Amino acid sequence: MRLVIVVPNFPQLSETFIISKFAGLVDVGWDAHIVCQQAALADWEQYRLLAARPELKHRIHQRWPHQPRLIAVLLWLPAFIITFIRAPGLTWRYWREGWRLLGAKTVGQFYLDAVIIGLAPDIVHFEFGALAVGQTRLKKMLGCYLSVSFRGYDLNYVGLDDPDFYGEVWRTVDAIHVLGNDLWQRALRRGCPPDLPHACIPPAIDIQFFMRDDLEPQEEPVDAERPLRILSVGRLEWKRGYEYALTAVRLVKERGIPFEYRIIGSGRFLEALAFARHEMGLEEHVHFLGGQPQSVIVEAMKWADVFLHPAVSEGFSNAVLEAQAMELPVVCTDSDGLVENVADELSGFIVPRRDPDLLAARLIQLAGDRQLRRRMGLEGRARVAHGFRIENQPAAFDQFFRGMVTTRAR
Amino acid sequence: MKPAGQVRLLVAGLIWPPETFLARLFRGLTAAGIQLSVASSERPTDEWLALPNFSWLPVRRSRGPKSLQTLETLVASCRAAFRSVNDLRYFSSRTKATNDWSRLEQLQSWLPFVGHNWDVIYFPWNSGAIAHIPLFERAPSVVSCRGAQVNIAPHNPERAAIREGLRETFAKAAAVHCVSTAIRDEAKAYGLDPDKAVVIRPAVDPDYFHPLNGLPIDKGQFRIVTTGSLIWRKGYEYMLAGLRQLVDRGIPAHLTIIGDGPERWRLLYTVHDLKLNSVVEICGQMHPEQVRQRLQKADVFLLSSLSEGISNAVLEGMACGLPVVTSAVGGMAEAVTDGVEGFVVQARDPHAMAEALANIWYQPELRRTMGNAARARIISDFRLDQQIEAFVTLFRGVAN
Repeated sequence: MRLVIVVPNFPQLSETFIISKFAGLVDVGWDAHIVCQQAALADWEQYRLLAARPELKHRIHQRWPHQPRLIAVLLWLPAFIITFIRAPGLTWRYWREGWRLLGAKTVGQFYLDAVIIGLAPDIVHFEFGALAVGQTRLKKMLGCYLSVSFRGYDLNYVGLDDPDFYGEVWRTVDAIHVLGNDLWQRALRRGCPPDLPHACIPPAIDIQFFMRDDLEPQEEPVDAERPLRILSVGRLEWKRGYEYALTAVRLVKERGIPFEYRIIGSGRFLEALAFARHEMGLEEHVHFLGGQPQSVIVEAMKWADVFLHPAVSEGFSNAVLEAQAMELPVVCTDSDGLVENVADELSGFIVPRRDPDLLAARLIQLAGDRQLRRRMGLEGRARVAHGFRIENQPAAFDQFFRGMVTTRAR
Repeated sequence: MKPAGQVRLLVAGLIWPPETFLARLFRGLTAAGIQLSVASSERPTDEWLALPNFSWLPVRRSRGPKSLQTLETLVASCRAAFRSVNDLRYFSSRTKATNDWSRLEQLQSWLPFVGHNWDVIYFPWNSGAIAHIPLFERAPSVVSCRGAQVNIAPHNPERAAIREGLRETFAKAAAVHCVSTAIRDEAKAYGLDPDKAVVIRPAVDPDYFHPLNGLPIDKGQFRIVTTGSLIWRKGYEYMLAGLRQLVDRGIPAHLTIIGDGPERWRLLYTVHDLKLNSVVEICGQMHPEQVRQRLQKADVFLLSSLSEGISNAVLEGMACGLPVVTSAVGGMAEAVTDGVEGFVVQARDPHAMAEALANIWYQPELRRTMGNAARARIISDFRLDQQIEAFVTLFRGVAN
């Protein structure tokens, strides 16, 4: 069956989970395709999972450009002809149903949807909840199954001021996928009917790749010669709560504990964080390393003693899974999926969000106890190896989509 | 010959329509007889163009395909050459950028200035001044330091170039206007000569922003108000955490947030996450008249900013007779003395904020005396007529 996965951009450094999901589905026999606004195929080789598989390239489809509008006007006719040649029956159906639902607006919508129509999908899957809003008519217009993944921000804050923001999505889609139970509870609170078919499939990682190959890690004591090494990985956005992390490490500094804090990730919030770093006098201790590929992240995780994840809102966090697989003790907040991700007191410490004092207390505790760091690190590795292996994921998604097409009508 | 004392002032490097405080300044300057030319890509409204002493100098903002822009620049260059060949030569020789295309864009943005003369050039924003460095040699220039472009941007590793820009513009300016002594001191780090600096603090019109007499204090609710864009600099997350503490103490607080901006989701999420839905109202952008009404109905003005020049919003609240709880950032302590017109607390400290608000809630008399002190302070130190007079004196002084 043909499965079309809709994403904003592909591939993306911060969204490697989409790559593994897509490749996994192809491997278990799905005719999976990606439709995106921007395809960065020139970066293909940078991605470990893609570099060895050039044959997947033809499954990536960029939508027709619509900015500036003049371009869209010029390309409309070619887009129509190509789509019609690829899928004449479905193009006819789209116009017939579209005219009923949208009237003259179908002309513009057709151009935006042309790539999806041309692929004649059996299933259209939106990789983020917010992408599905306003797109649910595709089910009727294409006569396909519709499903959605909710990953965090979409349920946590997008459209929060509109009680019926996802109303049409709940009424139309055939199934939803959430990363964890916390997100499912949030979906229910935002109006999702309890009987809507859903699957909790947590993120998963490649524990062969995220594996320490250095001998006896983390055995060094913390002192002036060898400061505590703290690492965070994730885009620089307000929801990651990095400001609280900076306040926390300032408290660590005030306690006279030497440390170095590295943050990997890029984003618009850099200015706010660079300002906070300056205000708190942390320029020498805190370093922003920008966005980095997975190979660099693995090296950084080998370097680090502690992984810090101060988020105020989080779907699940792949980075925290990767850190645990790399045998790093995690200090994180209780935001959403993190409590399912980390085993409190075992693979790390969970503290209430927006509380720098408690973050600092846990960092200080770990700084002074290398046995604890080692024990938590090993526990983290075992936890990920047991419950979050990438090898198990394609089967879970295969089951999700199979379940949907056998129990629901188109 | 121009009449004695008449000053031709060019205002450059701004986006039209201007912020309210700039609009008030421009109106005041034209009323004081200064001939104001505003260089902007957007056309001012007819109401503005009908003002005596006001004129508009259209500048092109680069947009559209490169070929079209090149053609436009060519045509504009020819027209400029008719006005003054020497000037055109001067501006062309000043383009310096990484590639030919950006040099062309630079030239395009400077061409409208060819062949005109002014007595003073005024840049209301540092970034605008940095984008127009060649203009500094055409007439004595004044640059304003208002806030983020001096306090924040230079610390951003991705905008490090602004440091050089600040240095160069401070060196070339005839005078540098600072909205507070705090920002003047901050700007010294980028080479500002204190003798060039002129501190003129922001101002409000106390006849427009005034308290409503006879409005009883509502004992059933503690009405807190704040206005400002929804951006990280305003520190709203800390404000909401402080509010949570206040509510947990059993104080019947209600917070009105007036403003809109890119961090609306962040604010909404935090309100929901801290279970403050029933005590926070987010009003979005409002008309000045509506803002005034909201201020007049409030008990206290709250500012949680992480950085400020001096907040105009706070001054408006003070003029309406509101006590203020503000974070100790930028020049805020120059407007609010801790314990007199309100309380000044550490930034990023929700607990201190809640403590100060509780103080005001539990002491209605304090609320009144601080509110009165706030209004008195505005009338003595932050009046619009004083501010405009100071600017007129500054521009006349620089022109001569």
